[in-house]
Amino acid sequence: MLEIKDVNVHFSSAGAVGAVEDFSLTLAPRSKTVLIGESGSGKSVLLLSLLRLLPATAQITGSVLLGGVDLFRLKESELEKIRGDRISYIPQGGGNGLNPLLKIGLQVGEPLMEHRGYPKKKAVEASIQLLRRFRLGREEAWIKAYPHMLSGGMRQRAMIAMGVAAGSRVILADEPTKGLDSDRIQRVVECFRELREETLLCVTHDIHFAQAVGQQIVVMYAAQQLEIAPNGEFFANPLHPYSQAILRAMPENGLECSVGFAPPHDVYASRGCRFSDRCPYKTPRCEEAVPPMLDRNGHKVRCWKYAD
Amino acid sequence: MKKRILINRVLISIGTIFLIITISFFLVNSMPGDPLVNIMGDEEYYKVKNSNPELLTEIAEKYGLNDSLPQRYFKYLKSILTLDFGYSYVKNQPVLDVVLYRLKWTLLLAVPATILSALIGGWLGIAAGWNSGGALDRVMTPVALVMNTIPTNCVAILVLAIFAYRLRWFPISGMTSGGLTGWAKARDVLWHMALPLLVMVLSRSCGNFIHMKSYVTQIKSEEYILTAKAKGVKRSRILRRHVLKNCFLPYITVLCMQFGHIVSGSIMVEVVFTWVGMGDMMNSSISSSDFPMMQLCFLITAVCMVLSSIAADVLYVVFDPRIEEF
Repeated sequence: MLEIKDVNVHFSSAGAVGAVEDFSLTLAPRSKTVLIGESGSGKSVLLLSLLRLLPATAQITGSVLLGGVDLFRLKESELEKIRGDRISYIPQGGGNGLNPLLKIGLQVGEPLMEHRGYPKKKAVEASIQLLRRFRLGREEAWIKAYPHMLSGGMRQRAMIAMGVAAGSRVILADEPTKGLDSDRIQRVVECFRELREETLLCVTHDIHFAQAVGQQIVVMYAAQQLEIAPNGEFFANPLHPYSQAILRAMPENGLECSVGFAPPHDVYASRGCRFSDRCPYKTPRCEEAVPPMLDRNGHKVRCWKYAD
Repeated sequence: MKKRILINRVLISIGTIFLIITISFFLVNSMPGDPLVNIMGDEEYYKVKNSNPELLTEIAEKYGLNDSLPQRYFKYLKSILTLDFGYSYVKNQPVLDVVLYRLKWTLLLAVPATILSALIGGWLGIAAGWNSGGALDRVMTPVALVMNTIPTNCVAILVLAIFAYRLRWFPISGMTSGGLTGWAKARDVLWHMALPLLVMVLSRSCGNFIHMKSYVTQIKSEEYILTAKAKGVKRSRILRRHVLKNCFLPYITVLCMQFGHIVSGSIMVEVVFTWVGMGDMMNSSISSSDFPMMQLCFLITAVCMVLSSIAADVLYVVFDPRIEEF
């Protein structure tokens, strides 16, 4: 179980503005949680902060409990032993997340060398099995290939294999479907469904992917969580006006864009609800104070509309 | 696939060398001043010109100066193919003999300087870039930047003034004391080499340091380094396995370009320390209009550049899996 409590991330270069504010979330063993939100809402920063992989300018407070141990209190050397072994981070497949000069087999098997003491040859051999689990096809050939020879979708699947290589039980994935077409997304979805024993926290812009993979959906907006709900509940009955707007904007729901764009600086400066200037249900109260996270039978929402 | 790239590269290089030969020939031959003046000396030239102009034509004939420019050009091309580079106007020796002798001394200085500065600058650059903001970075970076902006001949004169003139630890100039053999001679040459070598190593290490440091800092912030950290790879292993390999590729180019300048790059230092090498010779052959000598010097400089850029390309093709075609 992973318990995230009141995590705050500030960048000293960005003044008082927080990148992540009061983030709390409990990930039950083997649960799949998907975090959705616009670019810049703090999703990826949160993911990296959990493993303390942010640059030195980031100030992080709060706690992250993994099996009762607070990761934020560990020494760097102790954390090194946990990264890749008990918690893994899977970078975006479209980016530069794999070393261009090292072969796939070595990179996928590297956690085994680091945490299980495998010699290089044995780790590379083990990577064949790992890639086979995520159905890369022609695995013996691909372990000898360099990252640029793989397609974006294959790189993404190879990185999932890399994430679970050492038997890590908590997987953090950053936008795993970015830049992929719907066929390739489907294959990535299958890979994540394959992770039956693992706990997943995945960040995405892709609402369909969220619906397909997530058991629990978290919506983030301007550094804050706005809604936390089980999958069925969220898609059938979204509570926050922002979540409702997102779902209405989906193609199958008529592509209706009811809320306008808000410049981020104004949003962060506001004393009240961050979403208030785009919200169709705005009341004077919304501009005065940030609403608390309200719990309605396990469906959490941060909105004054449900306060009474 | 990679073989075709290499063959392509070699063909392009041969073309480049041909072009350089042509350009350098016409450049040298369109320089102002009559080479006969330098061959015979000022006084002699005007004396003969007044008293016996036929002799002048005769001498010009001997050096092939009476032919038209295109005729001389084709003669020159033919002679290069047979490795006959002609006679020096000034030294009255085959140019090739003089140049090869000088080249030996230049390489004696430049090869160790390039290798040492590659190792020193590279190593310090890695250390400073990996721990950026640390003590080494804060001290070395300003020092290297300052050193890099001061011309080597200024540094050379300073070093000369302090260590040779003031402290008298090292000789003021020259390459050997003469009359020595075996180990004694080797030690003597090393002693003479010390200061010019120091100057060259100092200035090149600083340049290399700046390059290497910027590569390491850049690679360090790449996403795949974050991936490696997320896998729990130890810091020292991230440096060895993920950072260094990626830094060596651009560093190889820098080093190869330095090898390209190996002959021409040491002119200043050679002149200050009267190290009688190629640089010193190039300098004097230009002031005395010694055409064959200059042409061969240019040719060697050009061949060095072309060879080193081929070397850089070959190394890149060998080490970078992403290069499959141009």
